[in-house]
Amino acid sequence: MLKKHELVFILSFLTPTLALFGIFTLYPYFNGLKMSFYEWSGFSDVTTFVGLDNFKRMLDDDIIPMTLKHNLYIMLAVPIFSFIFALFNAVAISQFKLKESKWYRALLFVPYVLPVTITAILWQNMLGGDYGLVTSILGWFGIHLDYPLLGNPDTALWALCVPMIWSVVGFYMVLYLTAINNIDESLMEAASIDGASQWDKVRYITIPLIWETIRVTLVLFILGAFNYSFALPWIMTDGGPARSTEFIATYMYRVAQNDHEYGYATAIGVFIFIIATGLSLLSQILTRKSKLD
Amino acid sequence: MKTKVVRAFTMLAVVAVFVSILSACGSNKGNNEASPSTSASPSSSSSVTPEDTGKKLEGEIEVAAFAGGFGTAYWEEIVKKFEATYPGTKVNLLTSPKLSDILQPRFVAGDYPDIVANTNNGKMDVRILMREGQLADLSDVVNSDTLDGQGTLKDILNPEVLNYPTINVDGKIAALPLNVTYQGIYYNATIMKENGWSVPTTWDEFFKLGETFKAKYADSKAFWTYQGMYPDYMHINFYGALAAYCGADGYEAIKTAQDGAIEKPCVVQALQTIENLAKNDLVMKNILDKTEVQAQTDFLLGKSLFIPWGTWAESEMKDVLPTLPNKFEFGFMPMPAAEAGGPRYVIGDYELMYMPAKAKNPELAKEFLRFCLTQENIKFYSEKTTAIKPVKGAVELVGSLIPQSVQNTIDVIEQTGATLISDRLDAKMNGALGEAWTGFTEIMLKKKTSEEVQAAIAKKFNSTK
Amino acid sequence: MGSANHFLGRWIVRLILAVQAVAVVYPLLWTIYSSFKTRTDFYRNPWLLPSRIEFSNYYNALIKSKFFESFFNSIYVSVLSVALIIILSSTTAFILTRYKFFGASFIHKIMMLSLFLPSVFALIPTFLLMMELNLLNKLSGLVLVYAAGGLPMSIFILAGFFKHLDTSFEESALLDGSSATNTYWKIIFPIAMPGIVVIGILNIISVWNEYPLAMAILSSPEKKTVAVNIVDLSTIQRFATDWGALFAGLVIAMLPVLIIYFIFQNKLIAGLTAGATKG
Repeated sequence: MLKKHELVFILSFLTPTLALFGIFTLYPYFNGLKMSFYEWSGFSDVTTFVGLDNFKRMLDDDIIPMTLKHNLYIMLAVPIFSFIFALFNAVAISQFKLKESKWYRALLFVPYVLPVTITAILWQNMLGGDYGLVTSILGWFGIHLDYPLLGNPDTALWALCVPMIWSVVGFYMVLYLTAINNIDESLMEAASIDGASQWDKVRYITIPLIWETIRVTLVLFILGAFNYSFALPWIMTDGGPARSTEFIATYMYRVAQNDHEYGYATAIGVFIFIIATGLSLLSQILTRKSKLD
Repeated sequence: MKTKVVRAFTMLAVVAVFVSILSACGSNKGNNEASPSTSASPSSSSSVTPEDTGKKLEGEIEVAAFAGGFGTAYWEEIVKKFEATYPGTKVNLLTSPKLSDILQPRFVAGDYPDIVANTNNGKMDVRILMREGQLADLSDVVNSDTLDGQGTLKDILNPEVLNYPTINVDGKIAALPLNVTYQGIYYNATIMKENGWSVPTTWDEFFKLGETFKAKYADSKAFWTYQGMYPDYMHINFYGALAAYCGADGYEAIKTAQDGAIEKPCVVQALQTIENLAKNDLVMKNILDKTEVQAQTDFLLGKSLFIPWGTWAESEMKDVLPTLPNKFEFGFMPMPAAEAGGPRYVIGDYELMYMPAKAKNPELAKEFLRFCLTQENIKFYSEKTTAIKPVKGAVELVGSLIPQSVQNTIDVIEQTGATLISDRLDAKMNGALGEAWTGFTEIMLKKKTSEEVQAAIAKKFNSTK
Repeated sequence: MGSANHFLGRWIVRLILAVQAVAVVYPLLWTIYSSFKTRTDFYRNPWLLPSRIEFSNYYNALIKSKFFESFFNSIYVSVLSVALIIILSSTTAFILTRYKFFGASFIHKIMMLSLFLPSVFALIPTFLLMMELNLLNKLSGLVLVYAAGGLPMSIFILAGFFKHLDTSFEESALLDGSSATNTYWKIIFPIAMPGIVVIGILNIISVWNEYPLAMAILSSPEKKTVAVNIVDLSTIQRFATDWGALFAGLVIAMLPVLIIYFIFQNKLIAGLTAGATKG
């Protein structure tokens, strides 16, 4: 049982937080979510209660499965490549003890702190059809494109993954580096003396010993990719060409802003919320499991 | 225990993204908004003294204006002029390039400005606002006298204005026109002249010219370019082709979302005008990721002969034009006809001013609307913005104040006798045509045929309530 | 094996890392040098260096586009909201980790869940709320919204730190008769500094970059934050052509974030490391 002075202390610390959180976060959200049961243009106070109509409509909307497929693509591609780069960099920096390591660590983290607007504008130019640096570099390797990378439905989705990976590699690298630095140095030395190759060391020592971190970052990757699918495509491709980079979040926003169907957009938002919550539960289950191991 | 912290960062990454969600996502996707631009130099304003109306007007109004292609200088000065003419009144001016984003929550909250001059009206559809009872019926303003003795406002406006879909909403006047823009196909007049080519009047001639053009320039110049990342710019030529092939009635049926209208064979013919561009390799390469300004700069640099565009063109590119290596001469043509001598079409669209039903000071707001339509202020508007108001005799009135390309466009429309059509389609059809914009890209990539695009539009149309 | 092999590996690794570093640095440098370009430069090959240094882009961005004013607005909002976040999230995280009471885990769960709500829906309801509270078009209103928004994530991170803090100091302080409040501020808060630095930096970055709420809540131009201003500017650039001012604006918008990051990056990474090694 709590003593009275403890209770006073707890309340004095907790009340301001709960008040602020309740008033400015929870209350507006619940107010917003109830719009999924209404038909609402979003720019007047005229609303019509339509029950579950908005949700029923989602079942018939064939753009939704298409956008989910795109989400799934980047949920696979972005994590895989980010993981490979981040782990490679972390291992390289810790194993080779290059004298400029500190610089790599500091610089590669930078994209993570940049505003997404800036990332988008940068990469729009990097990947652009006429002068894009990436297009030129591909040209050096004899790859000549018929259409610009972001202007071709076959490549746009993949091209969008590049800035997504670019933004997060440094962040994961630091997490892995932290975990690797905790590995007992003598293990590595012993392995070297036994004649283990660099790859063997990574495979049999590093990865197993930082597995816990890796497992958690996997979930993190998935959620990150899910969330990165908004601002970048919105600015860089506007969901195009031919809807090839339309994601569930961009579609929701388009429904609200272009079709003036706020109610329906909100219903899509509830759906996104359910997916996101599902992914968060998944992350909790995975991390809990790792504790039991 | 490590997992705790790592999990914290799971959350962190998620939050970082949620926080940034929507940041910078404000591209406006209206069909044909006019074009914002920055600098607009303030200039001396001669003071006006409209006839004393004998009304005692006082108090404040708030005017919310889109900071678009025509700058904000006009708004800043017209407000001052108004205050000077009506002592004791105050006009609070709000301008923003993201005006609808700002107004949207305010409308929901019932915090209305008195006048909205929102050219970006794709985002806040006046028809929806009117039908939801958010806007005042301005019929009385239209029927009232102008402030400078030119008869009623109705008398001075071009006659077609008051039948326009976003102005006359179910018989009520939802808005007054702020200006008129014409949209059609622009061409590089220098290239045309150098080669002694004549401007095509039918689609057949158009594509014949394409062959001639290709024979002459091969890959060094393109016959056609467009704002690739926003394929809906091609609605300009597409709607013109729809009207040409389906006839004025057929187009009207599509515009008003009649059942079956979009499934007629003439729609395929119209789509083929776009498919032929792709089939005959007449389209500039590497444009599918281009924004408006990028594509239009290419056009001004002489890299293509044609582009679909509107009368905001010269104003929109006014910073680029003087820096071009070669002087650019704008040419304008109405959309080609289906057959020789057939009717040709141009899209005419109005940017709007409207008054919320719950404006705080409606009398003063209405006076402001009238004030903007005195002969002097009609001229003042063109002087500050280079745009033109849809009033009778506008060209004579403001002639030298508007860019040469706009005068030329108006002349061409007159000479060719082109018919004005509206591109403000009913919501249901407008939604279905989202499939057309996607379809244009697929046609360009040779992934879909005209028939397939038509089927996609029809499917979307029939599945919408 | 042998050192030749190792030597080669070293250089291959170095090359791969260097390429990545260039991929990060070059676009940023490009933004910076593009901000000095003239208009004509922009429709030549955009990767070329400017033909001459055009400072007027900065003048246009700072004065005409009012970046100067937005800059101070952003600093005001960031400092106050992050200070609030630090005070509130650290106290709450402390309570939630040290005391078991009815509702503690519920509070924790609901905060975590709120992280997954798509922020787009909060926009209009938040606006309505601000209107009711008479906080529209006030920087202080934005501060409160940001502070509330930053709490769940910060509490989560700090809870992780508090769990691993040695409790012996506070216990002895409490035994010496120090009040719980005093003990917290004098002893625990300073010890939690590495964690506080981490949430401080991350919140400054996200507050600095936040856009939709700032746009909805602040309507007068003189109250714009940098993030709103940059989006306004880039919106205009879709139609207009003052690319120089846009790039100057981008530099102005990202510079403070970069400076803060480079000043604190060691602390940030140390904070991460400290948290992760305990346990």
